[in-house]
Amino acid sequence: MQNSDIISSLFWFKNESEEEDKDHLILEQFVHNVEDFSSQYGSEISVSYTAFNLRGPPSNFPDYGDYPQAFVMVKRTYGTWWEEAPSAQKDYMPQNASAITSQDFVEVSFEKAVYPLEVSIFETYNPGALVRIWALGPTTWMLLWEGEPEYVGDTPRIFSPPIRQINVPTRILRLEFNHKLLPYYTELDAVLLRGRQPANLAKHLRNNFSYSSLFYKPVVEKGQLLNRIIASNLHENIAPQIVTPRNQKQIDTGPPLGDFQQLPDETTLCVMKYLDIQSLCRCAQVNRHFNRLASDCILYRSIDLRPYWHCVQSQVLATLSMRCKFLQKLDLSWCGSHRMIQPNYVVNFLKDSGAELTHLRMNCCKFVDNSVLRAIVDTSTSLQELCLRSVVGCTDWICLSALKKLKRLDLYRTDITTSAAVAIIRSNPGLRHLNVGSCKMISSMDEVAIALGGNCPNLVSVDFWKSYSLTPNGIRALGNCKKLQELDVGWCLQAGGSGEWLGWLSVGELRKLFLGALRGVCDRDLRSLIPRAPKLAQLDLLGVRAVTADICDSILAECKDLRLLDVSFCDQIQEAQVVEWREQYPHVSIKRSFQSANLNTAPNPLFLAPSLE
Amino acid sequence: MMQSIFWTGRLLSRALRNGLSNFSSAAELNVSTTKHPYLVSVVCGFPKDIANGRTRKGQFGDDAWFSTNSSNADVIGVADGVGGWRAYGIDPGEFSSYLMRTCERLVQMGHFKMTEPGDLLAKSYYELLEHKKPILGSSTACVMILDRSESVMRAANIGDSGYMVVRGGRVVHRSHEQQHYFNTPYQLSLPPPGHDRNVLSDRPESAETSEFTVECGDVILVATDGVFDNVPEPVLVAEMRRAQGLAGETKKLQAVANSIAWMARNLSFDGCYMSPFAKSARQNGIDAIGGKPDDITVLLAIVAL
Repeated sequence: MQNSDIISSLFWFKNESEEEDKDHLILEQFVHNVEDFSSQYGSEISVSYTAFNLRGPPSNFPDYGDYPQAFVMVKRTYGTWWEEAPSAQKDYMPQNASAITSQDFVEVSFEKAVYPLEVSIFETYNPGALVRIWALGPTTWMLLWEGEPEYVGDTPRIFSPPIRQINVPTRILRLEFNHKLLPYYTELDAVLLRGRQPANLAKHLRNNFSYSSLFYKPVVEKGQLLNRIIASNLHENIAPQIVTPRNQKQIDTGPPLGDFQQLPDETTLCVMKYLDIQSLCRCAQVNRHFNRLASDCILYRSIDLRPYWHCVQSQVLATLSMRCKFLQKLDLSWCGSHRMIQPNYVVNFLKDSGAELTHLRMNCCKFVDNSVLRAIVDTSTSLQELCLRSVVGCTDWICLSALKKLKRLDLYRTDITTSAAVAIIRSNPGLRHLNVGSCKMISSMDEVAIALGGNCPNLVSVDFWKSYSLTPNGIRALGNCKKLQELDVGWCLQAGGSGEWLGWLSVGELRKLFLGALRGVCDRDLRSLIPRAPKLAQLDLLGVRAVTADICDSILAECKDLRLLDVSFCDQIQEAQVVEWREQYPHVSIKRSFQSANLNTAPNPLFLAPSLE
Repeated sequence: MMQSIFWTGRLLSRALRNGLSNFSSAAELNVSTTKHPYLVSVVCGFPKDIANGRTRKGQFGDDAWFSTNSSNADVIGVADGVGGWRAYGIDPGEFSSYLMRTCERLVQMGHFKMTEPGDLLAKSYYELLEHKKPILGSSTACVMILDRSESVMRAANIGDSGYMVVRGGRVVHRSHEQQHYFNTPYQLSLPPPGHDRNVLSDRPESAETSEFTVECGDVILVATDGVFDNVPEPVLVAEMRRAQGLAGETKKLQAVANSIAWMARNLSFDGCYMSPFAKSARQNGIDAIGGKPDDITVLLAIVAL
């Protein structure tokens, strides 16, 4: 603690000393605000483990360990466990994924815009997840750095990758993460941006002006398009068609390219099916023949634009909608930050091309408002999958109850209300996967759980993460869901008084059970569960204080399919015991998080037997 | 004889060290404001069991304290972990220390309302539930927020820790003890699962709150029951009177805090002394005499301009 105090005070010092460097000021800034993020471990109403902890100078560094003062991401995180869970989701267009995929992001802003020279990430637990750093310029996102995720072991570090120099100042960074190589959650303490300040104040002010104009001007104007084309590959390839449709006659004057025309269209299309969107767009520019084929609606049945979030603008949707007659699956997640996509374009797109949609993902999309929700309901009546994680700013959730065929609904961290959630569940009896984690406006999660139990006999997975209003009464209703494979009731503190309700569940098919921080679950509850849950593969007992080594012994011995066991912060289980288990059961990954610094060392053994009375 | 000199020396050096750590924070305050009042604070205290007690910053035995500031407020607080948890294998100091540290963090992050010290306590309490590491135990607590721009002090107190404000040599404000019954104060608790029904647990919202304007030169004592149960109020007031006008002389201020803590410490182990605690016990029909050995925390602050 003392160490980190000293270090952070040093940083403050540095922060304030602006040294002169050839008319330019070098500025070091810590995060001023967190603009956006894809997920966080902490709950919406607290500060522990939340993204807000990225603000300001480091609070733990160089202490290494699992601390509430850091930012922790969650869901689809560390290792590959989430892909093995029953609720796993597949990409709609895997060919779009770049070599380095990302799973989470956080967007941070700094007080002053600078030409970035160095970006330092203070990683205080399981470092190595960072894969990309983006900077928001006046018009587009620019990639500053990209690299493979890595596993660098149990050590805190300040990660400052070499970044590309850009010629526009920025004050907003977006960091992308991939946790697949990490053994446990990564934790970030702070982000430091070192950069050159724009030379004179007048210029600086002008830059500020361009930011605000970016936020408030409606986006697409033809004159501006050129600017965007320069930086965005997707545009480079899609936009010309719009800009120069009248030139098409001139383009196709020469002879057709090679012998492609002799192949049946079906054959070429079959090959093209494996292309990512960017390559398809390039193909469309080769000649008229390829243009016709590459624009064929058959190729645009599944579209995943998430990897292109940094360059997808409203215009892209307008262009794509001509080719999307048969569109079934659409992923727009992460797109549309900073008003790059306007809601009305999405509404029009859905109206033109959304009739056949069965799968739709709009996670973390800022453009989702009531009009978009209504457009979804009005046009895409056969929707089976709808993911709206971290979508804020809509109120008309109840309109989603007009959908009748939903099988998967992901509403993590949205502000849906109890009545809307219940109405949606009632009208979708075929629901298999539901995520209502961290929905802070659901005042009675019990009603939601009871609706699930009463209406959705085919429920496979349900995620109640951090639902403080869920009680054993609600969980009891889930006993009707005989096909339940996955249950996440982590941090449902009201349900954690005791674990008796485990006995009411149908657990014959259960493969994943997360009981994190349910302090009252005890050996007896688990003892009765184990023989009934032969397929259990992932079990999270984080912070379940009463659980002892005995029951874990039985779990490890009896659950043959067990692959993941989290016994972090289980006070009754000794470290040595965990080491022993790891040797004895090498096929099970046993997680044991820790806090390393002295402020949390075990109490002096003498304090248990005070000598001076 | 040698033994006692040794102890005294060790205690004083510890008191000084604690004091010094706080001079620095007081100095920072000096820089940040010019017109508005601010707090100069020092701290001193002793764990009940000095031989084995904690020496971490912010803790004296099971007591904990913090003193911090945001851009326009100074915040101080003490908490006294309830010792009964030791029998359950729970470290009673952990709850109080986390409670105070979380308050400190909330203030530093700006996640608090200056007008609602009770809300700060409540937020801090609910934040403890969010720790992955289970934190159990219970604690009394007292938090005071000085709103610099309005010269208003707002306090929230739950249990038998408390504060006392002396102006012109007289007590002008003080907190009132909240007790369920004798020697059982109101307390914030996180009992182990299954013990919920047997454990006293008061909601953080039941904290007693108060609000008063402060003037330059006011002396504020925030302390745990180890002080109030052992040192009679007239003696405390006499000591605090000595602290008036010492805002610029933190070493002298520290000496006053040291002497209050030292006095409380000595009296608490005096077996034939009619302490405030013993008087209160007699009123409740318990024949008791002598001090009440306890952890002692003295947080002494002066309002300066």
